[in-house]
Amino acid sequence: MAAAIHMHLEDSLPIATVLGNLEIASSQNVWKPFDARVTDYLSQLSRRIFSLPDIHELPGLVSLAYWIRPSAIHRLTQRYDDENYLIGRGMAFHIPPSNVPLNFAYSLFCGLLSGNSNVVRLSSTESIEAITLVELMRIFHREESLHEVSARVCLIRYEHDDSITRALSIKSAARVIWGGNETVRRIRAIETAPRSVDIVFADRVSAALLQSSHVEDLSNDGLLQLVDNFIADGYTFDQNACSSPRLVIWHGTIDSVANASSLFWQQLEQRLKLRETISAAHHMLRFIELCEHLSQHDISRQLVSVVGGATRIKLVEGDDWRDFSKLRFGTFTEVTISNVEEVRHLVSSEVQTLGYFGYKTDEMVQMVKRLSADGIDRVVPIGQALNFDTLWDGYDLIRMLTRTVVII
Amino acid sequence: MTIEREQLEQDVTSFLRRDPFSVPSYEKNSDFLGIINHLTRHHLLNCASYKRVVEPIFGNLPASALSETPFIPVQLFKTLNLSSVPPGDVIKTMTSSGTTGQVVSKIALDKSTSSGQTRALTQIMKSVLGPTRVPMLIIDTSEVISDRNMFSARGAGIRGFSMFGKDCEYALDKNMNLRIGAIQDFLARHHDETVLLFGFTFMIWQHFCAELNRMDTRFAIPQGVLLHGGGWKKLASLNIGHKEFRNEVERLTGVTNVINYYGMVEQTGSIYIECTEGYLHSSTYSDIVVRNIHNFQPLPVGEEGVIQVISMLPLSYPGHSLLTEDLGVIVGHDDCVCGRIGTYFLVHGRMEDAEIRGCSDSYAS
Repeated sequence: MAAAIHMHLEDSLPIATVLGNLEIASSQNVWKPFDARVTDYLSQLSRRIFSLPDIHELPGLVSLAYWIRPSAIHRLTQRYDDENYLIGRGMAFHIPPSNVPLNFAYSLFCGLLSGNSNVVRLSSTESIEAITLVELMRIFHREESLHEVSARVCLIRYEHDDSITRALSIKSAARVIWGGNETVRRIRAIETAPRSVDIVFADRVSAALLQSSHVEDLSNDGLLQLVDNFIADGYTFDQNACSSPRLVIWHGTIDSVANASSLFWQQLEQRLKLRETISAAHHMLRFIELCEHLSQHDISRQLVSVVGGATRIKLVEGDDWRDFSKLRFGTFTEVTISNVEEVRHLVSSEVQTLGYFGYKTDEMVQMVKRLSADGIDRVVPIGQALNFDTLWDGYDLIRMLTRTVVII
Repeated sequence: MTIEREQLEQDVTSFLRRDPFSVPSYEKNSDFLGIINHLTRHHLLNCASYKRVVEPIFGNLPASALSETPFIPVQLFKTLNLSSVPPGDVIKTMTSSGTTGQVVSKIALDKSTSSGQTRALTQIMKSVLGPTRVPMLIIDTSEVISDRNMFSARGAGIRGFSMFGKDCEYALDKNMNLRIGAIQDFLARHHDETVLLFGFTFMIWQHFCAELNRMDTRFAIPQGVLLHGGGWKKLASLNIGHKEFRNEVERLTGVTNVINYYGMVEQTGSIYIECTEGYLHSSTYSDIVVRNIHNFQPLPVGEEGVIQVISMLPLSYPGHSLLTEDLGVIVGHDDCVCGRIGTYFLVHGRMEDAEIRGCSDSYAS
């Protein structure tokens, strides 16, 4: 019956199969999480990626290869080494976003590691890194020793079409729906199997918190490192990722913040100029977006300053930074707080990641405990905002994608 | 009309009586800056969207130098309706050229802005062609004028420049094929006169030069002046530079006087004319600033950056100071060998299109 439906699906609906087979992928058994066949597949993939000749030009793939290398997977396994008995749910249907090219791979690998079979709807936006990865996986599909895992991977493409989404949803034991909000709303409205779970990623924004006195105390090299870390968080994917900071919170006295922020932005300008990673058109897009945005708001006082490669929007009390949180391409809204507890007034449920500098981990733990805020799912040192983890956006993806069996 | 607006119109009108290419900086600058500051104030008062954009970025103090004049991206006219006059005063809305489905700029013109554009263009063209009208061969199809759907920068440009021609003839039919017979008749009628050939750079290359080559036909128009504009984007992608273009035109038509102009629908009228040395010249009615692409700070002579165009003509819409997408370099002020006074510069081309990643929505992709 299942086979018949899927024959029907692929034949009658305009689905393009990029890799794998829909029928096969939807008729796989569930496995236990971190099955040796999956971890072996991933460690081989990691090795293949590292040995690509042009790997230094593919930083996103490098990060991915690090994430699935054996030692990293081994560490991850230990996190789930508890007494409960976990098992995959069935077929996971992934709808990744278009703003982060390799996001689909992280979603897929979480599905595999949890013991599921996976169907991934690829976005129409092509990237060299995504294409390279798919081609490596295509080679794996031909290898007999890996075919059990390859059978659990099916990559498809289709024009936005609710009837296809519905046909796939009804077969899914889990749907992984990467935002924005509009996508989440529309996909959720489409019926799924009664026991199927949805993991949804809504629109989020992120912030960075810096203790100004610690920035002032930095050596030249230290400041350089901080700025490079900030650039990694704030400029990758044109600041499009939910984890990229849009708000910069300066914590300190007014004089200290003025001094620290001036040092910081000057260094940032020099680094961006040196790297030439941002094209002229990107500077223009930043300016155009800003102008279009401002035309919709009545502010009537000067609050924008353009530094090299970045636009700073300085807020005063009474302004809402969320009014500016959609701006990209290196646009940062800045606020100053004198007490770290004031972070409370700045975070709401939209805030995903808080990058920090100038605090000990324990100080952050204490702060987050005291805040008990709606938002903030991740608190990480500046530079690690985009590092993917199975703990993401407030979810534990491995646990969400498995069933917990109780045996007493 | 307010007294202030009336004063502004008078100032612009009297400035337009000055010669387009012989007013030196020391004579022009303070008066010009005065008018530009006046225009900024006028648009801040009369265009709410402009005010909302400009004040948070630039404040609202008058500029003490031309390079301090607030600017908005030229693309803003594509997404916003920017007008500084009541809807009833708008006599026509110009649109930029664009293929079907592309977003186009919308420029609202009132009577006085429109006549200011005509006066400025007349002054500039007189300096090129002399005081009398000359026979004009338009390297385009008449469809671009008659078909309302094609009414765009191309049509408007042809209409505008046609004022300086007489016995206007179109060189292409509606299928963009050469009208050889009509062209030969036109040239026979005017074999001993100065004639103006006018068209858009890419149209001339694609449909005129290429067709002449294909048909292995040559014209002899040594008394001709070819005026062309509209951007090099397509030719640059074919690796055709100014020199190749001039040489090809001369080889096929005998025209040696080939003049490029730089202008945009958002600042119609105050066009920039290429001189015999190959430099573009700002007129008395306009000027340019070149800005550092990283931080938009003004750059000195000789350094490449993004071009800001400043014109005294836009009264009915806030387009007097615009940041273009063009990269270029100022070569000098008032001292070009060609004898024209004013800022002279080179346009190096459009900045490469950014791969604009949409917002983070998988549904749209």
